[in-house]
Amino acid sequence: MPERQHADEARLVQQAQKGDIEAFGQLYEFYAPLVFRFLFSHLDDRLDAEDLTEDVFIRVWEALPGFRVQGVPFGGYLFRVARNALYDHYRRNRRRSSGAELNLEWESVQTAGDFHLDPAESVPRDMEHGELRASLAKLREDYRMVLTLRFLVGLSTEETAVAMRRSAGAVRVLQHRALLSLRQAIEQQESEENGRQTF
Amino acid sequence: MVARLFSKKHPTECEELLEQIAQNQPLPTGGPENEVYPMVSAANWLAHRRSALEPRPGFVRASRQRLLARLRARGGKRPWLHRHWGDIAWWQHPLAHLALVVLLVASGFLSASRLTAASRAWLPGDLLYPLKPMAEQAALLASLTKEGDAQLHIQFAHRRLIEAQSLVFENRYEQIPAAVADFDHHVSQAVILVNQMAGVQQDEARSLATELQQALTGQMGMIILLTNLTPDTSQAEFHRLLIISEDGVLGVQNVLPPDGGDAQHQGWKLIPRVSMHELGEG
Repeated sequence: MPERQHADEARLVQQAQKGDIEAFGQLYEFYAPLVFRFLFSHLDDRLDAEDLTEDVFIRVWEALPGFRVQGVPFGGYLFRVARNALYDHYRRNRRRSSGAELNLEWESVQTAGDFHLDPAESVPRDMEHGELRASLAKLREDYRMVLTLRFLVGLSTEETAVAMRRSAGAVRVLQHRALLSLRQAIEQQESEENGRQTF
Repeated sequence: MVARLFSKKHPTECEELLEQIAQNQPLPTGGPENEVYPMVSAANWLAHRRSALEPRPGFVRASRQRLLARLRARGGKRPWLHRHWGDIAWWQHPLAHLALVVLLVASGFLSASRLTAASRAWLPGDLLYPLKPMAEQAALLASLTKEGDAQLHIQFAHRRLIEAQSLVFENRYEQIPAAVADFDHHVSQAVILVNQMAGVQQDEARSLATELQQALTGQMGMIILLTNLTPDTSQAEFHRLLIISEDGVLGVQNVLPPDGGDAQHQGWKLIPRVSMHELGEG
């Protein structure tokens, strides 16, 4: 997993467990973009994803003593915490981001600009983000989760298994089903867009 | 069965391509592999949209500084239950276990069984509560088999749930997160151990998987009831208990005996399944 390999991960985790804030900072720098990616794939608002990213690491810092370096991969453990934080966020903001409202409309996504980036960059990004969210929203929650962790974050099957509390075999089966379901959702999305353009 | 079907339908090449995409090496869109394998095409579609999820430039550095400043402001302290002495939590320290034994011996009249019986009433936040996880940790150390460990984890998870129930009845909602966190730990450990055993001790693993599945599905009814009894501020913890229980059941699904599928579905039917939709509706 070239993107994610960190040679000193085990050492940094052990140091952070002992209270070394700088070591934890290094883990943050390495994992924060991935956690953000995971959260933003489930949320509409970039700022919510940023706040929640920090919240996840605060939770991890507090719970780190209970983590056993030899037990489970740290990446899997981290994303298990991230998943819990996301569910808590859904509950707190149920009006905005509940699972029920994940069936967002494509039009509303297209108009949601990101004013923090150069518009020339942000508009295509926002469109892609919207397209991604709209397609994922058509899937079951566990399908969304496995696809996000595997293909958007880049976790290994084993790490995904830890994050989702399933066996690696169950994750593989789930991933296959989820990919086929996504393929159908993409085709449906494309045919809807084509129909709209024709109309 | 399903896994076998997949391996027949989708050859190794497909698996390798999926792994390659997962490792951030997306294939060109519209390539031949995309045409042959629908799954590869879907995975590739996702991988090509990763860039839309990247954080703003400078976010990671700025938020790192903010996060570390927050941790420093707290003196790097963690909640006392998680604090460490050296590289292990204090209740896991051998000296803590020794102290417990000395306490038991010194008290003379207090037998281990009486301590265990008495400790059942102790709840998170009680003065003597720290002895309870210590005693449990000692029991886990004394258990020399994975099967024994898994059974203890199932038992301790159930205890945490009973504690959460008692805390609700006593209106001590602020202590519930500690019980939930420990419930999560014990369920996760039980699932991991059952899955580890599946390869070498299939019968024992199946028996434990069934036990865990029945315990968790049985407990879900109680959790739903408790959710309705708690104020809004504490409901998140009970929703989390449901998610942990549901994950626990799914985590041992592939270990269950072949006829366990029906039993499992019957178990689920008894309990109204709570979806993310319903959680969102609160």
